[in-house]
Amino acid sequence: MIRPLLSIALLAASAGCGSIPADPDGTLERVRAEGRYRVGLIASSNRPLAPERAQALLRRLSVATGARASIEPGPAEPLLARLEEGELDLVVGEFAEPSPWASKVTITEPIAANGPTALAAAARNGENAWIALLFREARTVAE
Amino acid sequence: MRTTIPAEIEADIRKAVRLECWTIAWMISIITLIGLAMGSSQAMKTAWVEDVLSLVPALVFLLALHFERKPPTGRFPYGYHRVNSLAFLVSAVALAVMGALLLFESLHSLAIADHVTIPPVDLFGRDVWLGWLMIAALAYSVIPPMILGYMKLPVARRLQDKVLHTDALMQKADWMTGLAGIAGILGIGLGYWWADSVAAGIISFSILKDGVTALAIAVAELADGAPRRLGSTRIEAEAEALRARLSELYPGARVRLRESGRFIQAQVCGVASPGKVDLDALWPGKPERSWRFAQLSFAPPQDEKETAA
Repeated sequence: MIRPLLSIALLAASAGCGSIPADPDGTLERVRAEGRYRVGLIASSNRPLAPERAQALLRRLSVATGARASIEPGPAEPLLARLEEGELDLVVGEFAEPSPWASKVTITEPIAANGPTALAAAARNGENAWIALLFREARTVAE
Repeated sequence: MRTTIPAEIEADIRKAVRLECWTIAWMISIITLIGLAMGSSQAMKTAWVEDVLSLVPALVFLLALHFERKPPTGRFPYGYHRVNSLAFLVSAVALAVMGALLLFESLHSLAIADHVTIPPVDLFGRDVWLGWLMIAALAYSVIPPMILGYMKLPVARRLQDKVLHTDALMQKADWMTGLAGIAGILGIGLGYWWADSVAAGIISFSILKDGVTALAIAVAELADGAPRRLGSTRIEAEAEALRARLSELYPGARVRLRESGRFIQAQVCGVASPGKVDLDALWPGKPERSWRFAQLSFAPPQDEKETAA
């Protein structure tokens, strides 16, 4: 009973801590290899919330990965559904706080906020290396 | 008929109470810590619910003991020995529910292919992967139940206390779930989204088996079944020996044994009472365990049906 668990633990230890966390679907590796990441930009109202911060986030991600953002604007729901399916790597835009999408995709802490609306970025659930990078950069931009 | 706690086991009872108080204190600290580290992880939420559930045997043990010390009353003329049997049933249900919950949760996560997100958190101005904090919390949660469970087993055997024994099994379930959680989080860290669920699923079988076995023994006890071994549905050796001794002493009589909490009660059917009987002298096992033989009653022959049965 304990032996398989110990072997997983040993496997993890021997793999080295540097590569933890890793992405089950290899998003971060693919972004670095292809030099491109697919961004869904949620179409905003007439007065978008802190558009310069959204741009700053994409710039920082590009610097960190050496990849450029391939941006696709559109309404929130279809973009988030495609993110969940793995057809997009990132969705940036205004989310309700708390968002009903929070269990289906992983949403960063707010980059900017205005009442119940927050500018944030979302990634596909479980892509933990990509999410770790995204959270770090979003936090820097928010500060 | 013995109706309160025998003096021979008072020291062990006190030891058991101390162990259970420690268990409750440690478990509350673990529940608090896991609560702080769980984030949005469903696996950690399940671990937290299980930790809360694992308080049940310790609490009902103390509650049952409180009653067991009371003398019989007009409303409860047989005393409160059976409160221990009832507490055993409650503990067995808690253990079985814990195993079933864990199994359901892991199968459900696998079925919906739940890719668990474990984000980084800001810890004193530094980005730390929440997985490492979860592993630290789980490692802490593994050690106390390992030690307490190990210490409880011999006491439970000496006291023939099935609640305490189930509690020791619960502690085993706790530390095994903790180790599974650590393996699962490391697996997720390596990019295997299914690792957490598979690790929990493997462990859940063993917990469910312990829980269902305990449930079967508890039901047998409440349905006046013959005394069972600790942690097994097989009939206990001491009880078998006692039955054989009584059958030898009263040939032709039907000897029935049942368990009331930690005590054994025997009835010899088809024989009139011979007057005063020394229960300790009749006990076939080790003398230090003769306290278990709490009651011997005789049912004189009544009709054909009784003697034929």
